Amino acid sequence: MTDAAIAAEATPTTALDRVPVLSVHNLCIEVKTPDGERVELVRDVSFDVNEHEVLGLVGESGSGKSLTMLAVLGLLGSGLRIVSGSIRLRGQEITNLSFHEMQKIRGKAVSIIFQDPLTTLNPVLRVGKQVAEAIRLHNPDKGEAEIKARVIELLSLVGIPNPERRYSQFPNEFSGGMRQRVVIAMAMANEPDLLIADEPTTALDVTIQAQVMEVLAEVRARTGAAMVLITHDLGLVSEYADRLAVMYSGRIVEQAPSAELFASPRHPYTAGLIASLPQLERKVETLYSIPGFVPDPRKRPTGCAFAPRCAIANGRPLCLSQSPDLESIGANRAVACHYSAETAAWSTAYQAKLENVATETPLPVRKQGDGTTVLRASNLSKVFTVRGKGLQRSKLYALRNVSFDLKAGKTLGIVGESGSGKSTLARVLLRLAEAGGGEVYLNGSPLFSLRGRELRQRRRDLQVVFQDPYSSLDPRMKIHDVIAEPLRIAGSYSAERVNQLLEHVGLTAAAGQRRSPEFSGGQRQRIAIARSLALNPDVLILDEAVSALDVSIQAQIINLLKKLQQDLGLTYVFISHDLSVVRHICDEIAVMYLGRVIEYASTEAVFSTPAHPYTRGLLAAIPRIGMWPHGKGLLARGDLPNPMKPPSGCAFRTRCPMATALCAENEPVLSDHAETSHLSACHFALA
Amino acid sequence: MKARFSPLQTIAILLLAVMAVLVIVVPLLPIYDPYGQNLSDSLLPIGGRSFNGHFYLLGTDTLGRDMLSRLALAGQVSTLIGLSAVAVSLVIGVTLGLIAGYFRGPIEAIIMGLADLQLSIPRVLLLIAVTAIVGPSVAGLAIILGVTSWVSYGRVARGMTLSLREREFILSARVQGASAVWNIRQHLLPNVLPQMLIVASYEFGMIIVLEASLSYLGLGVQPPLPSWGMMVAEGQNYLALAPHLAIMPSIALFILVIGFQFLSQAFTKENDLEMVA
Repeated sequence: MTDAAIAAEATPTTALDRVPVLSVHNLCIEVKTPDGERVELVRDVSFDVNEHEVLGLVGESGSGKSLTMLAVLGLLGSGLRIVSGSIRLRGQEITNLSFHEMQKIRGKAVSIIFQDPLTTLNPVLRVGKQVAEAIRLHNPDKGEAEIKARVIELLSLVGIPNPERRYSQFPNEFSGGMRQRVVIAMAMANEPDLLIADEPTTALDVTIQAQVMEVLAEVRARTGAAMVLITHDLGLVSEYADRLAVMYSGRIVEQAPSAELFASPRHPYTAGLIASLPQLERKVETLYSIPGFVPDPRKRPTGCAFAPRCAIANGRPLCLSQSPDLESIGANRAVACHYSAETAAWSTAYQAKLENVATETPLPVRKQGDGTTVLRASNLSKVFTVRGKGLQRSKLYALRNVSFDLKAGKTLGIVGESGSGKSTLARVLLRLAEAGGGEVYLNGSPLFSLRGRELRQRRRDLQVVFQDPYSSLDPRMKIHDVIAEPLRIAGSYSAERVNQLLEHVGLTAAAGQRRSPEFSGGQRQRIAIARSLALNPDVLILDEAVSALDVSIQAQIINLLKKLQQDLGLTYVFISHDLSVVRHICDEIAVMYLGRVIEYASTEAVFSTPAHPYTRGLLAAIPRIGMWPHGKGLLARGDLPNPMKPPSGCAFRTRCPMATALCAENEPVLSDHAETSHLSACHFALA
Repeated sequence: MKARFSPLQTIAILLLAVMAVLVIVVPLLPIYDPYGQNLSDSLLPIGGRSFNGHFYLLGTDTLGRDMLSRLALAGQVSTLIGLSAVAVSLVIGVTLGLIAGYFRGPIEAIIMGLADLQLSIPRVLLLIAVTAIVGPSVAGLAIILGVTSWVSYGRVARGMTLSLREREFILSARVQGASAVWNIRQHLLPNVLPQMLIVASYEFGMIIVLEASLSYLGLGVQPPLPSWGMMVAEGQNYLALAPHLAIMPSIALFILVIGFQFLSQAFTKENDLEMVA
């Protein structure tokens, strides 16, 4: 324990309301590796969370943000140890509490909401019982009926319809958003003083995310709980957090009130993160990307951990030799940078550069194809037969009459929430799944009738990059062999070609001798891209290819994709749920809902004049910096309907703020409503 | 990198080392002929010395044959049968499992139906029936044991293939024009094999016991070739007079089987760790 903490303990607390709910001081957490080496994962972290406040804890994966909060809950895994520092909950030191004493605090004074509601809830216990358990643990003398009444009250508080009926259902009968509401109800069961939300909406769709964050704000308003919101999503914290702490490589590098942080970031890392976010409002030619990647905690550079990636450090000796302390600058702000005064100038210069590019030179003309159609889908459909109880069979229409036309050198964005059919579309295009109807034409010739050797030849022109950089590389193979595989299949292997491909994606030939577990997510995605380019394809299908990456890495990969498109004249189908990324990279967008394209137009048209209410709902639901409150009236209500029993008429009508009786009767066709080639499927499409 | 063994590995290695000494080193030493009968020296206890000065470390059996050399020879026979049977079943099981998992559809239904059929017939009964018809021989025994124990390999291989075939590196290869043979050889087999070795080390123990029980019933290895199971069968008549006749082969059997079980568990643990890392 530090001297300051001991001193604080000695002085009696004077006014209770001045005591922060949570106060972390000089916290250091260490892990002992199997080789017996000790590695500091959290270094000298200090922050306070005040009454009623939301503190946003932001950082990329591996920054130590989740670990810090697990320490607060006393839930550090084996091998992890608090080396020094203090954690005080309402003035009570909790680092030295026994397991039993800690159990009394967890769930009572402080509780947590984890990322994945699917694994947080026990699948074999009824939902009501699980919430009841949370109450009973801390109120052993409460009666059965009393607890049940409280559970039902909690369930209705978090906006679960029919709580009496839902009480005795199992988690698998709940949708993702509803499950997360149950988790929130459990966390709020004993009205804790502090709520820790660890990426609470990362596993949810954007429209559901907006609903869940809303519920969270409501229940907090009711109980007055303070909250720590852990996330990698800068847009989300900018909307929902009062104050932010940015973590990098185990340390807090900047702390500031939310609005001030986004208006004038003082740490170059914060400034870089903000600059590398694709914006919904405008399109830039290249995103800023912080070079390099987060250092391995075992091999942190001496001096400032961020210095090797920093735009301001420039190899200055102070940055390389001395790790800057978190120093207070003005009221409520603190930053850990030797040259924080220069950040503002860098940001302005960078913004100016962007605007110059935007105004003076119109986007440079890409090396484009001759305007011929490379990939054409016509009336694709796919039906899955799903087994029900006994002999019941129901049909799931995963794709319904999906058509598009993609010109050489262009990028088509396929947008939609989970269950919209966008991944099925990718599989059907790649012939990893057989379509139920329709046809795909690649360079003018049909793809579906091909079989055997002919198919294997032709599909080389249509390649794919998947979402998960971890499962897309065979862990047993060297990188060189991973990239060589398509060449070997085609019988055209040469080592030079592999090295050339590695170079294309910004890796050295030496990297080829290592195996995939040694690479980070962003590097693996580069390797997957290199492999997909090996056979000189015409079209690349990017199935959520940047979704699993951290913000700074995501910007690197997006820039790489754009550069490759320019250099090689590639055509992309970019499948994503992230509209701001789509806006940045796509020329045209098709918005999908329950297997159907409901809006199809140029990117500019979709973002400036979205015609379908669903598109408008999607756009409104995206959290973005400095844009609160968003147009609530536009938000899609409720959950995606059961795709096995879609609503009659327009499938979106159950969630649509504009629906009328007509929508229940007739399904609107996809047609031009306003200017040419802005297709939408809505009876009331806006011009 | 790591030179240290886990406690489980250490025990497994020690037990198997004892067996290796018995099966490999002992036959090289100047010991008695395992077939050499000497009725005057019969039924000597452990460490027994005959009136004409012969020393028997582990005693002798009813016909006065040296127990140590018979135990070693029987061990060779058992291990040989076990290893060949495991090899046969591994090849059959992995091949069928990969094919079933990769192609799915009717092929999978047929193969897995075959597996169910195999499991529904008691193995010992099947073996008794087959040996009764074909007649007992060491090679025959190894093949029969192998052919009838492919199911566990097949099941595990199919299960792993089902999840692996949806992994994106295999989808990528398919999109790049890889044939089924390519995917099975390049991606599936190397990823499935480590797990198969775990199954094999477990199955090896099972097969040794099975062979012992068959030999005990007189359907396995035929005299004068010794086998642990047969030695137990012979020894049980003299349990009161010379208990070591039945106990010694039982202990040998126990050490070999438990050694392989521990080895299999140690493998499993190590692989789990690899998956987490």
